[in-house]
Amino acid sequence: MRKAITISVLFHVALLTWALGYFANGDKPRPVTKAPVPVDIMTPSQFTKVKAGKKTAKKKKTATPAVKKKKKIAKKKPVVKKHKKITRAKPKPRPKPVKKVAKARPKPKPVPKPKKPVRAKPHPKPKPVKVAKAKAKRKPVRHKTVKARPKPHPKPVKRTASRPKSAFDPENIAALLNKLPEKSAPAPKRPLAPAPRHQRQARVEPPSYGRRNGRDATMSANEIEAFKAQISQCWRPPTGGLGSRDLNVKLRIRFKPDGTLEKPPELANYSGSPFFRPAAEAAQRAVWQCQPYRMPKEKYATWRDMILNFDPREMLGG
Amino acid sequence: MTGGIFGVMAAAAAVPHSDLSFVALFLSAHIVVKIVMTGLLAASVWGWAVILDKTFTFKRSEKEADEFEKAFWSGQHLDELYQQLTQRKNRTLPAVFVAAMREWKRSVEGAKKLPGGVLMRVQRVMDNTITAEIDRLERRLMFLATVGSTAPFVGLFGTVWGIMSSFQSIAASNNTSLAVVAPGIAEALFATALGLLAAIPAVIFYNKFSHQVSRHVARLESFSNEFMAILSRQVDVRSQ
Repeated sequence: MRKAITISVLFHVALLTWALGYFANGDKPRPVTKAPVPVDIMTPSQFTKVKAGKKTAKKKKTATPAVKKKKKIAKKKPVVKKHKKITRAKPKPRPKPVKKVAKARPKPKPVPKPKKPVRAKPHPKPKPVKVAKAKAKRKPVRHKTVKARPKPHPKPVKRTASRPKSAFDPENIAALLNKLPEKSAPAPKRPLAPAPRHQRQARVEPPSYGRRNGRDATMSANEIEAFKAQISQCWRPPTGGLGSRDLNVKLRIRFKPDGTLEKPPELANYSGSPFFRPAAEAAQRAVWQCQPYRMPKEKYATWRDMILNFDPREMLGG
Repeated sequence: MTGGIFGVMAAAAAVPHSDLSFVALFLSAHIVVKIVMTGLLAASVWGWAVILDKTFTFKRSEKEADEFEKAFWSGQHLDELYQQLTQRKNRTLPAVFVAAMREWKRSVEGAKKLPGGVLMRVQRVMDNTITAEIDRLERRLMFLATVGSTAPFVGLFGTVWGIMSSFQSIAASNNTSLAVVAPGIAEALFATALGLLAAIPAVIFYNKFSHQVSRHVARLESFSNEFMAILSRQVDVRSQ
């Protein structure tokens, strides 16, 4: 029996030493899983570059807004007229919202167009003119249609009254106009800029896509970058799972001026994928854990209410 | 900031580098898991000791039985054979033969008339020896059976405990990342691995040995029957 015990002990010792060596080597895959991380670390610098590129693009934007101003100034008059009409003649609601939506859409379009031709700065100038013309053409048509339908509907009136304010408030437009030139110093025509801006910050609480984008330009690439870096420190998107890399999570986040969250982030999209919930929860946790955020306080209005898109592909370097 | 594409990865979370080597796994384990692991390792060591011991025992028993049967049926005089065998320590088949011969000689030698009940006594002695031999062969086999049936459960217990602690660490860190969960699960699975490591050979060899024991017992009984036949023929010859 002694012989058997000795052999058994020796056998186990040999097995354990082999296992020790084997599992020490088994550590190898771990660095591999970590490898993507340094690669990801590289991206922020690239990202800043991208943003910097956008900065230069903004210069063009500043040129385009100038064009917008022209348009808008041109529009303003008709808008004002419409408002008057609305207030006076409540009966013509249905056609109006349609027009306004139509109007609201064309505005963002001119902005992206100039972005693409980064090289050709002169282009924007002619384009806006065309757009302005086109809009000028459209407006009269609308007016006609408006006039053509004189049926009174009380309920829609309310809608029309509320919508135009959010989507079309002329004061906001003025604020936009005022703001943009601030950055692009060349325009000294608007010395009133600061004052209306403050007003606007107070007013423009209801969020909407188009406008945020417009203001987004006012946050510098570095500030955006810093914010992203801060969140990404807390964000661990769930790895593995079929198609989990394609799970974009959109969160709507409201901030208090001190950079903390006003309330827990809300989901802004949904997917039937079984991996969506963990992904969404991971994103929500990240946002919640990382507060307070170091944000430029003077630009509170630009980040007060935002929708964040969490894209695991970029996180994982896909 | 709407739809801000957000995938920039700065400083990817300092994941605590946890060593997954055996020693680290063992040292970082909870005390209960440590006890389980140690117990399973001890069971494995002892189980293999039993396995090796039984292997040697059966090999030797088979060999001795073969040699004895060869000598027994070679036509050699049984008294001579008995004299030879009493010189050494006997197991299994020779032991049965020696016990029977001793009883026979005690009864027969010096008696002019064959005492009645010799055969019965010899039969008893042989049965006794066979029982003792079976007991010797089966000794410690129950340990293999026990290890084979309980080690997986013990390992499972360690695993459950380890997973419980890993869930606690999830709860404590509010983080479901693999780096938080993995060490606990690895440690837990290590316990199950040890359990299986001890149980699998134990089950295999227990089955093998129990089969060998029953075969050997059959061999002993058939020998005792044949020897009884020989002795009863002797009794008949002498009583005529």
